[in-house]
Amino acid sequence: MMQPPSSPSVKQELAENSLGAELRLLTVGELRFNRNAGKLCLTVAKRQSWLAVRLVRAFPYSAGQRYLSVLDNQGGEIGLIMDPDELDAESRALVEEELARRYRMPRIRLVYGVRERFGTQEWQASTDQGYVRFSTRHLFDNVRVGSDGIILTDVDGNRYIIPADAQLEAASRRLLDSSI
Amino acid sequence: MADVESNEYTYLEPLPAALAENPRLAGDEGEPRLIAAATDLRADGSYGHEWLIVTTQRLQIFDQLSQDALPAIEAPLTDLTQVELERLIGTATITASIRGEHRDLVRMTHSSQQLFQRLSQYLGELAKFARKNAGIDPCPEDGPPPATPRMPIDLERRTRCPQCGLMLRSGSEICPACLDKGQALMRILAYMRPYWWQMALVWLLLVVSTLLNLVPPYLTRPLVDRVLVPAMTVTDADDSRAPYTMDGRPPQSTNQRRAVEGGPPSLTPGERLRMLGLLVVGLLLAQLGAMLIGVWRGRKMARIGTQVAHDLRQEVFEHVQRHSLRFFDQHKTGDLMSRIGHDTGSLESVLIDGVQFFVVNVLTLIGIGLVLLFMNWQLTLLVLLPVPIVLIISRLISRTLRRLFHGAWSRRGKLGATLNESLSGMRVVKAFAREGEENTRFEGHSRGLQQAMMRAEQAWSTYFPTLTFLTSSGALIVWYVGGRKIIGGDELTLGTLMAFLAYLAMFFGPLQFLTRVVDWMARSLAAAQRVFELLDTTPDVPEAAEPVAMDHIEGRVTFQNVTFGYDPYKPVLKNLTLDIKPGEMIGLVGRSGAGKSTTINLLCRFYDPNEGALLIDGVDARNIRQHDLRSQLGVVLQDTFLFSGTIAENITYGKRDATPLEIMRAAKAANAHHFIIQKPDGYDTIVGERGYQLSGGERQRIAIARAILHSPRILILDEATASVDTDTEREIQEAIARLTKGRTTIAIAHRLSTLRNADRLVVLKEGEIIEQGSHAELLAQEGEFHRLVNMQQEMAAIVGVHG
Repeated sequence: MMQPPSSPSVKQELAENSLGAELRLLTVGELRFNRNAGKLCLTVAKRQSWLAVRLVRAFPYSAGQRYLSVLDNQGGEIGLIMDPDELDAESRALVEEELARRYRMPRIRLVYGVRERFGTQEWQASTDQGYVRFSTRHLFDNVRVGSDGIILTDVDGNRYIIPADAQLEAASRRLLDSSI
Repeated sequence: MADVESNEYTYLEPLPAALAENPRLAGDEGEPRLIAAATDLRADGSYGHEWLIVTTQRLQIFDQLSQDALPAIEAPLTDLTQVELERLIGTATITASIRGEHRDLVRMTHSSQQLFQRLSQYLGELAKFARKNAGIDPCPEDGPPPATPRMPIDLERRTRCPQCGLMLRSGSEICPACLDKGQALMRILAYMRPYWWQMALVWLLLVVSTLLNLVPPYLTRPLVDRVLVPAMTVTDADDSRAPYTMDGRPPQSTNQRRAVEGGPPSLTPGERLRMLGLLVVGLLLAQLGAMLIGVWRGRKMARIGTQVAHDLRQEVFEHVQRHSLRFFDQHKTGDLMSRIGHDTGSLESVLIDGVQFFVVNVLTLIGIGLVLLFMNWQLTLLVLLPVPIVLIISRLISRTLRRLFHGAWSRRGKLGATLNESLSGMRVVKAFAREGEENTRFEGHSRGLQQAMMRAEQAWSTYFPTLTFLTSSGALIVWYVGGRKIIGGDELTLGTLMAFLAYLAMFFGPLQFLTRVVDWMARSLAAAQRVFELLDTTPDVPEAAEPVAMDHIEGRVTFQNVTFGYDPYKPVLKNLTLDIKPGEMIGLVGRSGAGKSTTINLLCRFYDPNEGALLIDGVDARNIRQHDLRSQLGVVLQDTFLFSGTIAENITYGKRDATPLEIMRAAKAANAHHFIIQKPDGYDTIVGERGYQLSGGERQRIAIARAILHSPRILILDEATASVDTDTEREIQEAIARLTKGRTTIAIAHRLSTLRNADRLVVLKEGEIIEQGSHAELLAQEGEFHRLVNMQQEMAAIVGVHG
């Protein structure tokens, strides 16, 4: 692992590094996230701070919660968090909040039914966020298997995850099975 | 053509007697004839023959075939220079300079141009050889004595069947008409050997189900004769009496009367009811049995057929992958796709449906024929009267219909093409206000399609009922002749007649199938043969018998007097010698066609050199285990190819077990991390044909990341920067600089400035190295490189591109 930035010009160095050759891995123990005027801020080793950072998942499907990239407000990468579970409780809560804000993917608990009409599938389901109706097309291209369930993308680009323990009625189960 | 005497030194067509006896014809023991070929055009362009005769000493051309004819042209080979085949329009001419005077030797049509192309090349070589031997042309000092010329290899692709002249499908040498069908069939069956016992079961089931299908009509005979018809007799004759006694037995008298008339012993109503029940149960069992066995057989066969087709597809694909790139240059991708995908599929249809239908139908025909003959042979012969007519007509019909429908389909295709053209060219159409013209054009095609469809559908509507009528006419004969017999006497029972009609209905289906089966089998077997043809080709870059394993390549690359041409007679690289030290970066420079890509093709061992050798760490590349060589060779090509899958999968193409961190490190070094992370799905973004569309610069950086992760010892960069903006280019250049560090690198780039980092530049011109050195050295030399740089700078100034 790389050493955390320690020189006074850490910020400058990091900024330049967004196009550098080496991946910048952040030492989780030195990271503090907090909210400042509603914006997510990051402080590294108590010396450098960034206002309004963004968090993105590098491998949202294949590695789910791990490998978070922290971006500054220009979109440049400050560094990578390998495992957010190692953050202190407050930072972790903020990170999770931010991720939940960025990645909205209702978990489907129950599919009431799916109706196929003219190449469009119309779904009715209950999710952890409430009851939803949505439409998919070209199901074969819009369904993929993630690390903790099947991910559906609807015609408008919304995403839904169907975990393995979701209850599907027979027709939607068959439809999904034949589309994967 | 069949008895042409041809080897690598001679091409001798049999001479006509008049010419052979001509005392002026050159060629004897001391001066053997090398070429004797008849043209298909005369000097004045009319169809006819002239003879081109070449011996070791002389060239002769005869335009007369009489015994005392003088050759139209006669010259010693030493007088001959600049022998060439000049391609003209609709014709070609071999021209040469004889003692400095240029003239046409012989003319030919394009049909025989391929042959004369080879002959003229050979003649040219022979003349050079003769001149060198005679000391007219200088030989290179202390070089080897001139080698005896050889005839160029016949690289001609056959387009017609040599036996019957049928046009062949492109890329194939299999003639569906002349194919040894038995042999092809045997080979297909060989693929079924692993499943032989399942096949045996299928065949057994076939026989059983066919037999079971024959049972129901046979049961209708007793059903009518013994159960139903007596009932009518009874009610007719005895309707005044009580037909049944209390215990359900019919009155005795009927029984007695039937017995007197000599028919089969009549049954009491109770027995008849019981027999009715038995017969219906029998019918049920026969039909149920046939159905169940049919299902079982069909499922079994589907398994074997698809499995065999899968085995074959897999084998073909693996085999094709073993071939060198030359093979892929020669075979069109579409053709290969059709052979692996479609032709194996049609093989599957032979295996699943074909064999089954064929056997079922033949068995049914034979079975029904036998049963009919057994029941009543006179009637059978009568019934079979329309059979030959049906056969002939349905064969004619199917041909006509196929022609008509084919015509309709091709018109539909044309309509589609027109439509596509005018819709995608709508901008032009509107700009020139040609809507009216487009309407007319479209109407023409649409009308053509309408006419063709109408003709086809009308023909179908005419022929099909005709055929149905003809086949049912057999039944009419049965009704009339059989009916007369029943009325006239007792030799034919109603039951037999009914059974006859039922069998007849089953008879014509298989018959019509058999009229089509020959055609269908021929096409399927040809498909099979095209697959086998592909399997029979041997890879031309073979693995050495005892390949040298090289787990770690240092990266020294040595070209030792390498001569290579895709066509062996047109060398692209000439005597190339180049030594590249491990870790060195070489830039290959030259105009297009100078041999840059060819050099790289040899290094990848897509091809082997014709002469000389390519050494990797001092070992001949031909002897290195191909896997070892290629796994330590990385290529970043001009047209970056991404497979459909996620970005992460594409980066790990050369190293599947990479961890996410390794993937990100590689992407970072390739300046790809920052844009990948911005995508909603990050490294899990799906790219490729149906996925996310990446820009050219993004694709290139992903390819660089792939190469960095693969970490090859020898790296090949082919024109890695093209058509991207300056910022992106800078990022790519940076990435490349990281990638090439410490690796033997050979880079091709048309933009010379991008090669500034190279340790050494090698300038190629027409397959030869003309300059090499550092960027600055070459510029100072003011040679070819200097010229190329100047040219590009002028270009850049005009276009305003800052390289």
